[in-house]
Amino acid sequence: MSRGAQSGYMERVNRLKKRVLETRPEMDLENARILTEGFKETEGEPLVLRKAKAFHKQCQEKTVKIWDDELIVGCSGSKMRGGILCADTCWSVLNEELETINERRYDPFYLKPEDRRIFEEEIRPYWLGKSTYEEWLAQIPEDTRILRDYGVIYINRKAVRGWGETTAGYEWLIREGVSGIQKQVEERKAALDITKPGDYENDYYLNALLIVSEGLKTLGERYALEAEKLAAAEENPQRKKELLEIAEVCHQVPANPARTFRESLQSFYFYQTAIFMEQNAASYNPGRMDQYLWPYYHADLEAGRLTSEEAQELLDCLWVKFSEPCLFQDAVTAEFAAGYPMFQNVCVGGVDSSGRNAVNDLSYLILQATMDVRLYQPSLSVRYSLAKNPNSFLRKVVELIRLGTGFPAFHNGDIGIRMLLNKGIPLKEAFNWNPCGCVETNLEGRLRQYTALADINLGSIVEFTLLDGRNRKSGDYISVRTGNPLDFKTYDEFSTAVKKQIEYVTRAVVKGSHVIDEIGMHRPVPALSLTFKECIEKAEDYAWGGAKYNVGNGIILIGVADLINSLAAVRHIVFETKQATMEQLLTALDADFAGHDDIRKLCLDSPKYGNDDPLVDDIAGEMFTFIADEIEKYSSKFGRMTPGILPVSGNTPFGLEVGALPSGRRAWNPLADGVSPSGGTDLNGPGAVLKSVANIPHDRFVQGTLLNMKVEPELLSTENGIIQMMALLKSMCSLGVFHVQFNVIDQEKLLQAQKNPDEYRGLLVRVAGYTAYFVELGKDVQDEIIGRTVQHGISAG
Amino acid sequence: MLNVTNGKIINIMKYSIHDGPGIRTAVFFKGCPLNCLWCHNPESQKYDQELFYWPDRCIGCGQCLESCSSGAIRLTSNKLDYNRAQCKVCGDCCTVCHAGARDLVAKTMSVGQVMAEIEKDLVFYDESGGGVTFSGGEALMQPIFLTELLQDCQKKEINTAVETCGYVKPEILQTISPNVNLFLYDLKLMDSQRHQYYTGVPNELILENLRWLTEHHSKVLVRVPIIPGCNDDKENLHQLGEFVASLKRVQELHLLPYHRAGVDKYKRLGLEYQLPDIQAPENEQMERIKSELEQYGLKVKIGG
Repeated sequence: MSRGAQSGYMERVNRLKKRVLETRPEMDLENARILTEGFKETEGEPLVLRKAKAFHKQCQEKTVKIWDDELIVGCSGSKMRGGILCADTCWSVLNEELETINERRYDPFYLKPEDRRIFEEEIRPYWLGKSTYEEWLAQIPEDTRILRDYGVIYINRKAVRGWGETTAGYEWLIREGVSGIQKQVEERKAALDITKPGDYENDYYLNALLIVSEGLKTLGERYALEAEKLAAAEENPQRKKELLEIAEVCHQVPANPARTFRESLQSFYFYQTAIFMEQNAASYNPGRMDQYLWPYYHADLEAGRLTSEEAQELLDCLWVKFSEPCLFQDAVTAEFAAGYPMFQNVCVGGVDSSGRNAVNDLSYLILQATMDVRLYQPSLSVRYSLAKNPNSFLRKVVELIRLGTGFPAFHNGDIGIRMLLNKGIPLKEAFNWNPCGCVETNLEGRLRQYTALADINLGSIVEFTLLDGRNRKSGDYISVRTGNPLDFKTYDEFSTAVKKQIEYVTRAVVKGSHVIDEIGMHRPVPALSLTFKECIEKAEDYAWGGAKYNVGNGIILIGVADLINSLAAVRHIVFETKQATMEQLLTALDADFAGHDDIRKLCLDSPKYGNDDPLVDDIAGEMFTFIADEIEKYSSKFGRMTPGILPVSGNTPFGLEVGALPSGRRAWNPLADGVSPSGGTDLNGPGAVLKSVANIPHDRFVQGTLLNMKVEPELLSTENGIIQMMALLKSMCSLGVFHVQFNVIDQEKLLQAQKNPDEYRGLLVRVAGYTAYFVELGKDVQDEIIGRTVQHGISAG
Repeated sequence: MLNVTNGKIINIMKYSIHDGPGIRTAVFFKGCPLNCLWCHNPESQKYDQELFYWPDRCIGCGQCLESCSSGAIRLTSNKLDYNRAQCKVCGDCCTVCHAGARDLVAKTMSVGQVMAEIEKDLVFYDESGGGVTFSGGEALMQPIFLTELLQDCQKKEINTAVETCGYVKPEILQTISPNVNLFLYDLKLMDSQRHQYYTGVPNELILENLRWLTEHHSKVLVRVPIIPGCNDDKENLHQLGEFVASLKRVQELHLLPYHRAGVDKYKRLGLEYQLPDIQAPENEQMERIKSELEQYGLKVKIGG
């Protein structure tokens, strides 16, 4: 039983949690309305000032509500589970979905009739022709557009929502308060001389920062007043006391430095809601909370102001808040990342700025918060240092894995450091990296980039190679012509053609990326920039490259196992064993294997990635070194382009665009996710998966690599199971694999496995003191296991 | 029957966490002198090659019919009939079966091939204190092959465990013992007649070998499968407790609860499962047996 379940504070936490789960996600247009009104009042002024003034107006006029029972307060909009529309970025996305948003398949939002009226009468008329998304649609290069339209790349993501994918300077804000930062802005401003070229721009930029600072202070103050008003009317003495405490906290932060642990949490959360309000986007990452909140926690405990149980309750309350907001995005983007995913990535563990063990008591409390709350946010990550972090920490991590929430995302801390080094960040600072969004890499308050600008469909790459640049679904020639595969005399010729296809598609993505970078210059974010010290020093917005470090955008590969297995199958079947000719293979693929079961068997029996088999794993090493080289060949005005391998859920829609593949995968099925083996093809246990996956040069894919593994909770039900899982995670680090996340096998998945054994051939389960492959068991034993596997699932919003 | 460099292997299982300490690679040898009625690896009993057949996977495509040169597969009244008595177990039908309904049980592997598989997981042995476990079937039934593997592992600093039923010539056990880091020694029944009934052989040799081993080898774990109705009676447990307590240097006694995970394999081999429909023992029963055996001063653990 988790510690929290025995404790009194869980009653409140469970009430708060229930309320979130029972609240239906709604469109929330208040921000967009105030932004629009703000812009109407500032025609003719510099864009960044207009943004700052509109932000200030939002802080001043937005609905301020404190929900019953909560201790940490704040909300980006007016509704508890609101999806915010970023009108200046992408108003038209909602316009296109007015009729369908209530009912769409992925992430529906309820749009109230009165909100729809506000949209149609106030928002749409003003922003028509002015949004980032419209700029993008007007400027997208032709070859990029074609590949996007055929599902070969996905590149709209950054045009349909705001920046995100960043870690603001929370530590600085909490420590100095808005006033402290404001002082630095003023000092910087005092040094300007407007007669000098450039200083006029610097001056109005710094003014924008001062305006957003005032906005942030107003926001806190309004919550303090609301708490006092509620307290005056409150009859329950306990709640009255809590409300007065909330008022006291909000009078102090974010305006002033946090004095206590509670104030540090509240200051953090105000700023979190504010930057989200400024631009709706996924992946504003809190980062290393166990590090920057530690001084407050420690001081409170020392002074006897706080017990660890009270700290746990506050953390748990914040954890519920993380699950309130819902990411609004268009239907296609939602398909690529479903589940209203805010991706607020919190990280614990790792090393400190001297490279020493950084695990502290708060690391454990934060892990416990996720064990207590079990909601879909925050995304909890662990940075594990094989050399420095203690076994007790790793054990707590395994205990959390066992709960089956899918958290934490387990990261190999040393590889993260190397990724940052490869992004050009000095070691001294790279020590402090934090995971971002899914598995990308960030650096608090210092680094600007789009970590996942565009996705490339590697299934299409194989298809183009086999069809000489043609798209199977449409029959259209849309990529570079790399020759009729019947003419390929060696595997090398085939693999060279694959590389040419990769080159062509990468080029098209880079062109698109440059356009997005240009458009991004017109979306300044002064509230976010405020906690990037160098943005103040240089008087240059985050959007313009003001952060200390800037790197080129992330280009993401999807369908890794499909590419590797397809290449291996072609080499094995056609060129090495000559079990079938290229012509036979192409005919079978063309028919989606119908009437060609013999060829499909050859395809399925070819060596498969995920089994520690050098016959296929050497392709993984060779191809992904090539891909990393290829992407790094390009630079943007912000720096070298950066590769990554993380699908979120994009492997599913991409799969719908790809016909049958030599790997044996049938047409229009999902591709493999991340660097994981294709479902049902890894037959030698988790160690063999890690060994195969280790052939990819992880540290070169600096935007992260994602590995999903399945685990049956029973495997972790004994002391021996826990110990061996700890050893497995350590081995993963020794092997240089970057990340792993465990999907727990629940009852439903076992039923699926019973029905479709081919997709679950590698699934291990525990039978008494014995581990067996589930699909190899007789039906009665399978039924027994299904019966015992209780639902451990996580509550998704 | 034996070949110096090659052995008959059923399966090499990675990430085994129940056959000795740490993360291990378990190498399952084919062939066993016992045929315990509860055996959960019936495919490991015979030394000779066998064929797994899953009738429910068969899609009736008829490929096997064409490939079969011994007439074991026939088309009768619209269905494919498989007659094991006539089958030469050549495996040709397995190669062509794309429904995955047919598979050969064992493969012949060289010492080098087995070592290559074992060495793949070095990193996991290092992090977990694991190694390799030679199991089966009965690994000691292929003594020369086993000896070469053990020697090679020792040279490469890989921890070795051997799981044995103990029904082997003493000199074989004595020859391999210096190259084994840990013995997992199975003990089922103390009464020789009952032993003969359930396993096909008497137990005197097994008990003598165990006694010799505990006097000459520093690491021996005794493993007892608990089969309700077969060996969980008071008398057997009492005799077992007394015997193990009389041995020198037994590290631990492990109780392995009966499970039915292997039942389906009998059907695939065309065999009858001979044990009646008994259920896996409840946890409470296992705990009770554990405390009974602890009364003999033994260190007892449930599970491998």
